[in-house]
Amino acid sequence: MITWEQLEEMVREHMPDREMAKSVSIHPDTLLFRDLKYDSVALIELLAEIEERCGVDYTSLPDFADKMDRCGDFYQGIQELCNGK
Amino acid sequence: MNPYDMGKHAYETVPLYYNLSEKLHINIREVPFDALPVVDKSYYVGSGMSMISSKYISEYMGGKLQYTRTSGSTGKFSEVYWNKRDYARSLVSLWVLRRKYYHILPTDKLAYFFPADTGEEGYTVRNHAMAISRKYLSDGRLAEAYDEILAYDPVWMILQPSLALLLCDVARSRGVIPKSLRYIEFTGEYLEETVRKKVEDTFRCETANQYGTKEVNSIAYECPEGTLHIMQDNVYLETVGDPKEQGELCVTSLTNFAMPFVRFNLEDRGEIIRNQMCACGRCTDALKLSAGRSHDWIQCEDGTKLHSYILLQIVHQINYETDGEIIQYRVIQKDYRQFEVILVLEEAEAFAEIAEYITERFHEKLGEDTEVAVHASERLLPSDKTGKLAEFITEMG
Repeated sequence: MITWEQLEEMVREHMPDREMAKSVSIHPDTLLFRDLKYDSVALIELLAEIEERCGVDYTSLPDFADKMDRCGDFYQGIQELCNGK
Repeated sequence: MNPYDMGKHAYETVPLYYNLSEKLHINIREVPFDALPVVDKSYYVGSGMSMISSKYISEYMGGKLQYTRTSGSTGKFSEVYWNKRDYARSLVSLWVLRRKYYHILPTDKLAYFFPADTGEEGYTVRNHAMAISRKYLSDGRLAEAYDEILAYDPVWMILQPSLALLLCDVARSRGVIPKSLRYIEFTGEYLEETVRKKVEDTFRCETANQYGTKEVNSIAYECPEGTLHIMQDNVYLETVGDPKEQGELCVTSLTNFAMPFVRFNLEDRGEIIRNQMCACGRCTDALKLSAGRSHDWIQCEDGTKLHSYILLQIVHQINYETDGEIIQYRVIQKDYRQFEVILVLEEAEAFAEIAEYITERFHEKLGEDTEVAVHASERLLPSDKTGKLAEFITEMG
């Protein structure tokens, strides 16, 4: 299980725009691609770290594809997987 | 995002759709999604700015939208624009599934071919990807391209099935394959299982089929169990037409807001199975494609075959040089040394010059004694043979 603050830190750590990462505010409605300029490399790296830390396979969520953009949805998806373990 | 909301966005902010709604007396807020018209590529071709959402006009005018040209297998040229962030978003589930199924990462070395119609030759390596010009193919230098691939040693390749087959022949004659290669992704043409088997045997790697278009990116992706899972976070796919026959596939992008495609006719046929439970563990809508967007080969008198791209690339190149004069085209092989080219042009006055270019360059490729007849047409209809609009057709049986 991870906290929202821990997820926020990971999201920030993998942002391609390092200048933006220093100051941008991240909240549940923040979109990884539109707001934080994520690309495929960053997303896969974030996913890999989440899966390693939480011991889950994010793609085992039936609607995982719908929960990979909005940060709040990402967090909810992780909670669902961790609670289901 | 659901297709209806994307439809509302399109019909309320894109001039092309707005004009269509006026013409057909549609009030987008009062009709169900499946009452919206199905539009094909002819409707979009040459539409320019009128296909851009008013919410993205300033990005378009500022040159900030990502842009790609497509001629596709239907012989119609068009331009597709994306907001860069939306483009990245549209590819998310494809990357996640490439990693899940085949352990392919965006940082793995990739080799792929790109159209040569911009005049670019050779290859470039950037951001873990080697982009190879198809000019190697049209110039008969595929073996050279293969040597470059061997030197680069990619982990994976994206190939059209017909090009993959040609590379198999080169690989077998060379007796060597890229050491690190472990995955080939097919796209752009219908994939015959015999082709897949030959490629897997030659390159000793896994393969997967990826069905998509430049207009909407990935539509369906094959898992290791052989199911083409529809990318439901990126597109809404449906069939239209006679329910007793395999329907025509229509797609609505759920991620391209700058240049939305709503009920876009893909001119392919297939069957959609809703909520299919698959042995890979996923339950999604799945696609069964009919044989479509197949590839005809140029047949030579000595029994050999040439990839049609050696001629199609000429038309693409001329279209680039004339700043998009050719709206649509088809090349037909009537006999071993007899070809017909049909053009739909932006301006009729351009015909004589373009016909001369095409004839000259076809002769350079095929020999001076090859008969090349170029005709202008107001529009192109589907081929009698295939029922499809296609860039290249052979009538030689």
